[in-house]
Amino acid sequence: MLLELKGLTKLFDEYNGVRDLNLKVAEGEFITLLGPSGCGKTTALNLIGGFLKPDRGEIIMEDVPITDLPPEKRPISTVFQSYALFPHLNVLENIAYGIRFYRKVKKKKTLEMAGEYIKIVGLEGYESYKVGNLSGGQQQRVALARAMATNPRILLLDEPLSNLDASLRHRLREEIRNLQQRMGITMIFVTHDQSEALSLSDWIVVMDKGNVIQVGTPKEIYFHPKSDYVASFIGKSNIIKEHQGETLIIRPEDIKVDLDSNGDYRIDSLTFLGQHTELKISNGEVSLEVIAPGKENSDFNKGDRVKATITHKIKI
Amino acid sequence: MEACKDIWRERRLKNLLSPDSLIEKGLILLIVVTILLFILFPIIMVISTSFYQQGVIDFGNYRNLLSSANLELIRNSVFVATLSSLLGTFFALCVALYVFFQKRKVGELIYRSLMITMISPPFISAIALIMLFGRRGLITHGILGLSVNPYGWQGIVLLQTLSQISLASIMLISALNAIDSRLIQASRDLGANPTQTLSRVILPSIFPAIMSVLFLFFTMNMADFGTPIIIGGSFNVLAAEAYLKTFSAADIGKAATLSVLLIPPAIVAFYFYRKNVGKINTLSEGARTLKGAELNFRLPVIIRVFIGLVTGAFFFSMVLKYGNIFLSAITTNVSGELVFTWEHIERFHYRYVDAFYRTLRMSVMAGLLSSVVGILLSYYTHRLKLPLMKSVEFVASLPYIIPGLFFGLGYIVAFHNEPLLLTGTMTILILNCTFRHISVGNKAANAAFENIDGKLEMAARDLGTSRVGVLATIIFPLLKSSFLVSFINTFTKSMTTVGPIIFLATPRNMVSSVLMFHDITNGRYGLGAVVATVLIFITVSVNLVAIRFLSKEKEEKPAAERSLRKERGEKYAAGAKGFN
Repeated sequence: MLLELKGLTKLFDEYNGVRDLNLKVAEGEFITLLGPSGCGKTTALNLIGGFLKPDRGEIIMEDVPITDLPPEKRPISTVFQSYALFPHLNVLENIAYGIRFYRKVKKKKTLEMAGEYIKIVGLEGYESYKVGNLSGGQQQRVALARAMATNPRILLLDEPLSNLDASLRHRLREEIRNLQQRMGITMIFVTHDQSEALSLSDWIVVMDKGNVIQVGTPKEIYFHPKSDYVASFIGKSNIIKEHQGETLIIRPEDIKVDLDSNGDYRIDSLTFLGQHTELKISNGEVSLEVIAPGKENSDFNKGDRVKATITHKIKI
Repeated sequence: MEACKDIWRERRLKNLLSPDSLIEKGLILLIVVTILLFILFPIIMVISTSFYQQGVIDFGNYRNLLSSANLELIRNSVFVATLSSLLGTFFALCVALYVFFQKRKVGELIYRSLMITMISPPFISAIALIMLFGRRGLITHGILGLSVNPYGWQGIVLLQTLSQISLASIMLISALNAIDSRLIQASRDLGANPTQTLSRVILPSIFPAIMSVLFLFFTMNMADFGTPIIIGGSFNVLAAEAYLKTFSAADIGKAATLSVLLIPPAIVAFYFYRKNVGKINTLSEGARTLKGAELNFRLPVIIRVFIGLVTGAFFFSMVLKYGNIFLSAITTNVSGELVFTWEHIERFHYRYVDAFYRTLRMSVMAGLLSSVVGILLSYYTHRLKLPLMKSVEFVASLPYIIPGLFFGLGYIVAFHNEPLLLTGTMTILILNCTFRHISVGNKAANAAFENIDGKLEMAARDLGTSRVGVLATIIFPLLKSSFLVSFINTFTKSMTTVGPIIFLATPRNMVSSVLMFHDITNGRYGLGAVVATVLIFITVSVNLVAIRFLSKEKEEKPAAERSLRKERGEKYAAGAKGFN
């Protein structure tokens, strides 16, 4: 195993921190820690990066414990949420920083080597720019290049896309995934954005209040959530408590509605969103959220009676 | 790439022997110990000395305070200090308002002139007053044919008032610039005219700054012994008496007691100063600040004319002062006629060059040391948030407000015995200047850190730098401007100060400003003027270079600042928690 976390615990108070975190990461994998703010995902990242000392537990890298190693000696690099680029250095110098101090390369050679990473992230021509003069997306690339330049065994990314606007976020998401597969770097990615988690990860670790709730592939997490917490955090879902104490989860896109004057359900409200239409329907007992795709579903009216067909449901 | 894959495995073993965290612990210890030893210890020593007489605890010094002679001294001090700080603050407020509502270019020019007139050894205006308006004064006697006596409390008040206007104006201008301009716009929008806006919004907004200036100068004027000795004539004050007691009568106990009396006003000044600083720091995130000139805002003519006249009169007096000092350096007054002479300059050359080099060395050393210590103190207090460092920082801010006389006395009492026998050395001068001005570097660094992403040090560590390496490659390069501000401040003050080091400079380690003080008190105005001219020339040149450098830095800043502001805004938006 490349990285193994064993019973890692760091508590700031009862609800803040990480409790008994166990995780195995294999070479080349893309792992996402997913959860709302305050769930402990950043704490977990800081423990792995060496910025925090755990209360209990061990961090093991290829069978060697590295729990007591300071961050500058760990073969792990971080891309910070705020990027943390050094404002007194230019783009090239920022990237060269880790080459010089982590890899202990002679100063002259570092700039040359940094140039290669500039190419990897596609920032040719920006070498001598002050980092303050770059756009958010460019700063993000510098941060990525700078972290990769130390040749880390693991790259940690702390919500690296959260400061970017929606379209750029999409593009960089793909770039990061491509880069990861091309270079074969192991990445641990922290986010509260479910679509980032689903689209990027080999494995998703869902966290809440310092605890790991579920570990699984994106499909497992989406289609077989272990709890209604996971279900409601990832994707939208209708959660129905059955009489026998069972909970039924129905994804809104797994409900098909058809106009039917004898149908059980009535449309309470609807919102047209272009690629799909969101409907709220109820039959007096339960009300359901429905996502209906395409033009064929855009012509309903409030008050219409409909028949609802559930194509997939999850029992917990 | 494969080759460097396993660097960490070998390095892991070296970790245990790493001197890095030891160096850092040593550094922190050094800072804490020196601050306690060279700030807190002397202060405690002065206070305890005031309670001792011939080795036993005794309140005799305090009982004697209430003698009628001492009560008169206190009354005189309070009277003079109150009057000159009120006048000084009022005139400074006029100048500040004038600059604030002036067009950008003119305002900038006046502001820079203020920064330069701020640099001046204390009480050298006394030379100008005596030479121009004294019994044989060029203006009163030479032109008007009068024989005016400049000595007395009026002279003290005039000189103290004039000498504090530059610094006070600068402090008030920065307070004015820090007002959220939306408040002014809102006031106008809600129907207040400019005069009402001035009295209901602008003045209340800078009230803490005004109080801070008022009490700061009250403290400084209470502690000022130079001006009363030179120009007070038979009018004596507390600080002058404390000085004379130490200097001629060597009655340290009494001097200590008298200088302890200078502390209460200092505490009030300190309270307002902290409040003022707090206010500027908590300026709300979206606050927009505009120069007054950019607001469509015109004060009534009568106010504008008045503040303009005050500003003009002030600068006229500055021209007179500096012109006269330079003139005095190369002339001698032969029965009302000015005659050119090399005499003063020759005397300077033979006697003072040595002291001058010493002063320069002392000021440079003190400037460097106080900046390094001040920045490190800020780093460990506010960046690494080490426990108890806030108290150490508080101790470090004490000398800023404590009268110089008191601080100098403290060094004499604290460091005249083995193993800390430092009196009469260059070291004691450097230490005194270093620790007296440490809080400026500290404050400058605190302000700079506010604008620096808190994750930078983490990033640097992550990229392979040691704790100490972070200081060298990230913190100090980023704080270049703060370092320079602090260096220049300490350098300037050390070059021109007299109060704290007058007791510390002995014939063995004499410095220029103290020599100048003795020359002036002994009536050798020409020689004093040469020393003053040299001091002013060197200090102003160094300051001009620094100002130039700083404004260049500032021009490069906007882009970086923009991105930082954005970053900070977004950090709040994302609700991310700070990393401790």
